[in-house]
Amino acid sequence: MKRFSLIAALVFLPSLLFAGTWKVGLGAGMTVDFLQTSTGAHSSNEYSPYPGFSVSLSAAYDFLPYVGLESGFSLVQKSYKWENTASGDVNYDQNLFGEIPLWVMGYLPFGVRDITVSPYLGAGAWIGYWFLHHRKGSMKSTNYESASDLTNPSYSYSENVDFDDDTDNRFEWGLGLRTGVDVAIGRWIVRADFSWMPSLNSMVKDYQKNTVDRYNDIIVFGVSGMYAWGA
Amino acid sequence: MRRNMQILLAILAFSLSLAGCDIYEQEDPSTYSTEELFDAFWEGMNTNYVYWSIEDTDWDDAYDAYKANIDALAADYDANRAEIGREIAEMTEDLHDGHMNVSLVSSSSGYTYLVNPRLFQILSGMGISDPYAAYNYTTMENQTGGLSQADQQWKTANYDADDYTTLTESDYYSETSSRIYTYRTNDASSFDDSVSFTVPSTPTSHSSFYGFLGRMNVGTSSDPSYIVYITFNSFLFTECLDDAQVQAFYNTWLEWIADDTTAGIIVDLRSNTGGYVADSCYIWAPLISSGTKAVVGKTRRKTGENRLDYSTWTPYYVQGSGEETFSGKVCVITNTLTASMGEFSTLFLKNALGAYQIGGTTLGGLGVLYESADTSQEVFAAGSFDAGEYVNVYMAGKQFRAQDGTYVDGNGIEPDETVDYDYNAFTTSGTDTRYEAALTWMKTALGVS
Repeated sequence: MKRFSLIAALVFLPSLLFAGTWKVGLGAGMTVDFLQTSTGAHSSNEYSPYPGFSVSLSAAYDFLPYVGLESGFSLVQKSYKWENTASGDVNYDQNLFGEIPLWVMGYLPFGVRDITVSPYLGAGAWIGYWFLHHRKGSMKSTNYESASDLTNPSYSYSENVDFDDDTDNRFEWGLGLRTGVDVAIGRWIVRADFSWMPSLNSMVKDYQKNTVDRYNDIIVFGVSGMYAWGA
Repeated sequence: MRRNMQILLAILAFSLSLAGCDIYEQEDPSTYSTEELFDAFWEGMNTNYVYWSIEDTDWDDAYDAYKANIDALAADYDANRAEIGREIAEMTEDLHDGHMNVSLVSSSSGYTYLVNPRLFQILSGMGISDPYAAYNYTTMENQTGGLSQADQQWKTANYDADDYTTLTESDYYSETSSRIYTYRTNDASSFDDSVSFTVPSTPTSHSSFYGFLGRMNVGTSSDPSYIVYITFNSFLFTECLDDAQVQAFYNTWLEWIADDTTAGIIVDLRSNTGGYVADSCYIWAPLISSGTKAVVGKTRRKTGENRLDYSTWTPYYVQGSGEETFSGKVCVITNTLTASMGEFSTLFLKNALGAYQIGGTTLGGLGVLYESADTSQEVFAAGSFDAGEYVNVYMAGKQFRAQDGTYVDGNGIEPDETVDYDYNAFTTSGTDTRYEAALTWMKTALGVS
């Protein structure tokens, strides 16, 4: 609650000082998670990015035409693939987070007839909470099904995984950089956005000596629609 | 504003550099030096051991408690091997994996000291005061080649007559599969038909493989009703079915279990320490109808380096291949050395065919092994590994959980009817109390005298 109050204060305080522009919007995008971890000496284990999604509700306040703050709430799926290249076992972890970012935005607006085009850069920080762990894939069974075919059959699965309080670190935070362009026609804005949002804490609690951490490191390609009012 | 942006970007760059630097990289334990064997062993166990989810042992505490001692001993590995083994035995004394066996090989010549946590738990339960010494003492007796002077001294210093007697008179040591095989073949006349095989050295594993199959008519000559008895020491049919004796044995088994006159089957799995998982396709699948999937439990593997990085559970089952499921009575005989596939088979017979288990509690080692230490270490991040040049750790690469959610490893499968092992009766007069109890149960179940 304290964090939320702080973010709210940072967003709304400038409005008392400047007669700026308010914007609210809805967005969606695709995420790619470049998981940062180690497979040690086990070269047959490989991690690779796997697509996820994000949906977001955003609120922004531009207290000058070229500077603003932006926050909101996002559902972000961070997914990666684990594969054992020797056995052919494949697992896709799909981790869903709720996130609240705070961005400082800088715009370079220019006009083309009735359209205002605003390329932008943003930098910020975010906090998140991991509230769903889904996994799917296929694993080789231990047994065989036929004496005439001694290969292990594959077992396919798709399941939600219970969190383990001892091992799963569900709170996450990180920093971010973003760039994109806003195209405004009247009060309506269409945005194309690219952001990089690395996590600065591990999904794994430090529950053992030599814990091998897992850091999410995502990029997001997004589009959104916004409505603006004010100056 | 510009200055603020610069500060923000500097913080961002600094934080990202921190994030990218602190991921621990585990090295291959086999590459550690002999002096570093503690770290190699601890690290290998930390990653490759598959039963951490059910262990009470705090492996981090073990690091703090044993590192200094074992590091000091490892400085002179050959002179201190026996003592290093004892330290490892203490470290691992409560672990569940029934397959786990640590070998401390000599760098020159001499006895290989062995640490087998599950076995030591069993020996301790028998009242043996020093399982590590008692077990290594008895295995030294079977050592081919001479013991070094240091090994001889260790053996003499650790000799305990009570421990030695208790171990050698236990079912673990003396109710051997070879004795059971010999008694049955010597007593083949008590069966109406019988067939047996002996393979002195199997093609791949080079183990000896033998079995006995007999049936006795407990009905009448005009209306026969047979009890089929089968025993074999290992699950090695997968690699031995080309052998003519094994083929004849196997074909007879298929013929008898499909015969309507077979009313009951006694499966004697005493001292059957396991073998190929694929053998269930040959031996057990014909007992249940095709289309039936008899789930015995579940297995899971490791997918990461941390202790509790597990995959999903995958079902572990026998896929039926018979025309119909055997509907007669089934009894399975077990003892302390019924292990691994022997235990899988016990659970299968009980779950799928309602078998009645007689004898002793099984060993408690049903995790699944990979092909070799190299395969386990390099491919799966689980199971057997080498800790430096002279210490080999053999253990399961997949965790097993029974269908009812219980763990066989570290516990064993308790019989429905415990029948004590009688050392003197068994070894001197050949009186096999467990076999006789099974036969009595079967006759009662079939309503014959």
